[in-house]
Amino acid sequence: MRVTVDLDKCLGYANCVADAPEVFEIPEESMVVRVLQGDPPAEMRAAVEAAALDCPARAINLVED
Amino acid sequence: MLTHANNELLTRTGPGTPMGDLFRRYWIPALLAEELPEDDCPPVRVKLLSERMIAFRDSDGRYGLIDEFCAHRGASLWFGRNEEGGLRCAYHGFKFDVTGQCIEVPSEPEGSTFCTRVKLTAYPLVKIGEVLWTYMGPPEHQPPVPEYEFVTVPEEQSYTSKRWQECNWLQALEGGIDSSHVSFLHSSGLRDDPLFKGSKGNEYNLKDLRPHFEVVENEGGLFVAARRNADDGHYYWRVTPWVMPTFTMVPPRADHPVHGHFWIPIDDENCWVFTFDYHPTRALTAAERQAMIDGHGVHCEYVPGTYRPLANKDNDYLMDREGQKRGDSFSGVKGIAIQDASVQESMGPIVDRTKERLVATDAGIMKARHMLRNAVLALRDGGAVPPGVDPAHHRVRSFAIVLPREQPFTEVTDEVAVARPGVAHVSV
Repeated sequence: MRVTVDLDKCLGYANCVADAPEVFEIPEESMVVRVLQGDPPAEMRAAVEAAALDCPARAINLVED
Repeated sequence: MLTHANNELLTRTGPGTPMGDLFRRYWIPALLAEELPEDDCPPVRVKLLSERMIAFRDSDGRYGLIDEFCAHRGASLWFGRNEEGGLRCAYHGFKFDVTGQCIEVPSEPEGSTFCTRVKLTAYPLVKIGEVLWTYMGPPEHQPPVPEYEFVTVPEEQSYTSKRWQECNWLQALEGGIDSSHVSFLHSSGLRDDPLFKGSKGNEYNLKDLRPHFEVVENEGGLFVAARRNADDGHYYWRVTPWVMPTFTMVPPRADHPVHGHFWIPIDDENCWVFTFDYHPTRALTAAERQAMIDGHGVHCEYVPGTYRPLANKDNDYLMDREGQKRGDSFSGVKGIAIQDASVQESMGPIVDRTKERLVATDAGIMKARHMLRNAVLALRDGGAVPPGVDPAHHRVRSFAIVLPREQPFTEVTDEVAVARPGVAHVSV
């Protein structure tokens, strides 16, 4: 599964950081998210899917390999 | 959510802070004209953007806003004598005019010119409408004076109050651009308040608790639009303009006066809420004005002789648990202004935004934070004039409208979101 974020949509709500902190972060000086693992391991799938669902900006895209 | 660094950046407004520098590019409300009611009246302590100052009105009716502390040895000029064209320190008689210039040092020998080289920090203070406005930034960047409609309509059409709120300005402002809370926190006001009730829009507000938000940037700030279901293939839109950095205007209801706010930092943990109500095309009725004075609508009751709300954090905002249970109000706190103050102050002096879990209805808040930060950095790094400085950006109006479902609200903003003298506002 590949994870990407549309930075034109991301407003930095950061629900993804709360749901999957191993995959997403907001750097201290930033207002938008950074993907830490674009290809997260299978055990993180549920957390990453929750992150995508919880994004109010619908900015997270998940693509199956 | 904001990182700690960005939360600090947007909430600190003292001298030398980036957000403080941004605020110092705008005219901001400093006090109400009623606080300096006549020539040579008592001076008033004013703290804005963490700077302590004294406002006074001299013998010729000129307004001044100067450093609170005497240039001599730092005594407060609040104890001073306002007489014969200046404010005289009660300690040794140094006298200052409205520009902060020392005009007399009585202990100096005759013919001394010492006083000409003594000057206090001073800012312009001008009366527009019933508000005294100041500009605390670099004189070379002073913009034209404000043109918000509530201060440009005739006096009988407008009313302004202010209240002390005990929290940082930004969390108070963010309440003003989050209209999704109205259906919960203020639901009783929509039914009962004399300045709110009787609007068809209230029914839509109370029926649809899941508004869809659309936020659109404009030259001076944002339009924050809340869309709710109306009748037969229509939507009810409530559109709140936010003008940078801290002006919002609540969408109107029926033919009631329309209202809004400025949240002005006193320091980083307190702010003034300047609250206005006006009607664009008619005088306020005696009943409307009295209701505002009595604390209805978005105004409040006060501790006598102060601008502190009567219901405040020291008395738990006079919370009425029985009334909450009965449904007199959603939160048990009486009055729209105090309902807002109670929840916003409860978040702490400066809310920790690193812990927020936000939802789609917070889009206006998020976009405003982005715009504020972008403007702060553009000013700091390149001296860019921020949005909302140009008086053309002030001539906005909120509106409430029912549109066919297929029609975007942005199709009507050019027509109805602009203040036009003598033209009624658009309301439901």
